[in-house]
Amino acid sequence: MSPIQRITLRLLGVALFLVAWEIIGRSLGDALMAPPSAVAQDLVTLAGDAEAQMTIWQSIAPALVGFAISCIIGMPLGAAMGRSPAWNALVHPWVSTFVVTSVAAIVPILILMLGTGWWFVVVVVVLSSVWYVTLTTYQGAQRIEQRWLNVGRSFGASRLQAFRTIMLPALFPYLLAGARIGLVHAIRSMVLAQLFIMTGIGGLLQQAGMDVSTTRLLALLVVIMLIALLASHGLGRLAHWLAPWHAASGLMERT
Amino acid sequence: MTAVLPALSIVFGLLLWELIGLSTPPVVFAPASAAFSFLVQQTINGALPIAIAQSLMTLAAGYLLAAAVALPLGFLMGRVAWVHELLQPVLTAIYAIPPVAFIPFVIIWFGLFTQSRLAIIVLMCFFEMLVITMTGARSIDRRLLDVARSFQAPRRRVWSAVFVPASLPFLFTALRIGFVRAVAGTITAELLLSPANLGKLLLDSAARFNTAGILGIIATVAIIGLIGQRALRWLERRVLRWERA
Repeated sequence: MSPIQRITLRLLGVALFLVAWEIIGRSLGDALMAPPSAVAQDLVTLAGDAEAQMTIWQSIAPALVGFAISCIIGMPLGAAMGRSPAWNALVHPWVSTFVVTSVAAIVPILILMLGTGWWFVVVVVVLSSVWYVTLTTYQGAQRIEQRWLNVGRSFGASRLQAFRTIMLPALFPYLLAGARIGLVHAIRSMVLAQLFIMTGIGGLLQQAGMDVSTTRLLALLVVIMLIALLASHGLGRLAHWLAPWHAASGLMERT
Repeated sequence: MTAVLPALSIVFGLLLWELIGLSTPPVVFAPASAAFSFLVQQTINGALPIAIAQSLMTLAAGYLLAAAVALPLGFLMGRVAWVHELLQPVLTAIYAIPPVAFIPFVIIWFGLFTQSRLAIIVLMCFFEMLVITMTGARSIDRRLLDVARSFQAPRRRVWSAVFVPASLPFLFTALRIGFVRAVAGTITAELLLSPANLGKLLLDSAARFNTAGILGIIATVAIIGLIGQRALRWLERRVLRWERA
């Protein structure tokens, strides 16, 4: 397939989706499914609404802090698990238990323990994303071959040098993949936590759910989508800036 | 030594939970033994088994519904180039939206009860399974198909000898991850819509500051997820004998 055909098909897909949505929206009415033309207008209104924007920015902050904490805990933990069988045997059972435990189930007790403040959202985000960062880093660390480390040792590399010049570059794609997956879960759990306590974006969603019209609700979904896409794109850019040589290998695109 | 360590770690973790629970006031955190006796008591009076059974039935219905559409569609998108190009951008956009954000919308469309619970479970696991299947189907080794073609294998033989064996691994992965998401979807729906089954037990405990109850239900949810995942892994290993080598 030529690139022009490819782009045509993609644009056609988006156009068909929007047309179908517009037709369905007009026939069902605003109460059930607002058409994209109305949603676009509301997005413009939303862009001019300083208060709503403030709420949205403020609710992203705890997600980013939680995501950063997840990386700071998960990456070393995963690397330790991948390099040391004893660590792995000790930690793996708990990580694989928590990764399948839906964070929604933990929310009620967290509300009792932490209240419904800023840190509550941070903890929910950490508890949902840290396991994915850990497990992905673990897979990468497991694949580092002993031979590579042996070469370092034969050339007299210190432990720190071996870590910096062998382990870290080999781990990099996995750290990035882990961060990507962790970020997806961080944003998901941010919305979940805020839906429970009705603040931030979750609060806006709940409010919009009470409206007679679904216009605002769909506009908010588009905003959340843009935030998620932008965050993931930003992470990709950051990775490219940190380690440009990996971008060329194409590994990043697939993970 | 590494064989007994996991068991040791679990015992140690439970002991730690017990100790933290004993040293904090019961409204904040309860010990493992209290959570366990809550579960035993709820099993004897019948509430827990009924709640689990009903939760699992909703879960199974939503999960199977999602899988029935996601796996064939994913396969189609993975194997037919123009379908992939046509649907990919829209799919990527919708997939970026956290499924829970659709909850207010789902309530408008389906109300607060069984239907909307099913809708949330489907939303939570559908896209995950679709994307994994699509990626897997795209990466089926071209060379395998070429070999089959050069030996002039008939269509049916290509399916049974190449497509099916090459697809089973990622189909199993999709089913496994989809299941974990479906469990999350079930409990989310039972908490955020009208409380029901396990979600209701959890919220009732929370309303009475009964942390033993809360922790007991969390453990139950974790165990359901673990058992489901282990069962699918076991099935995968039985079916995919050749993968082990």
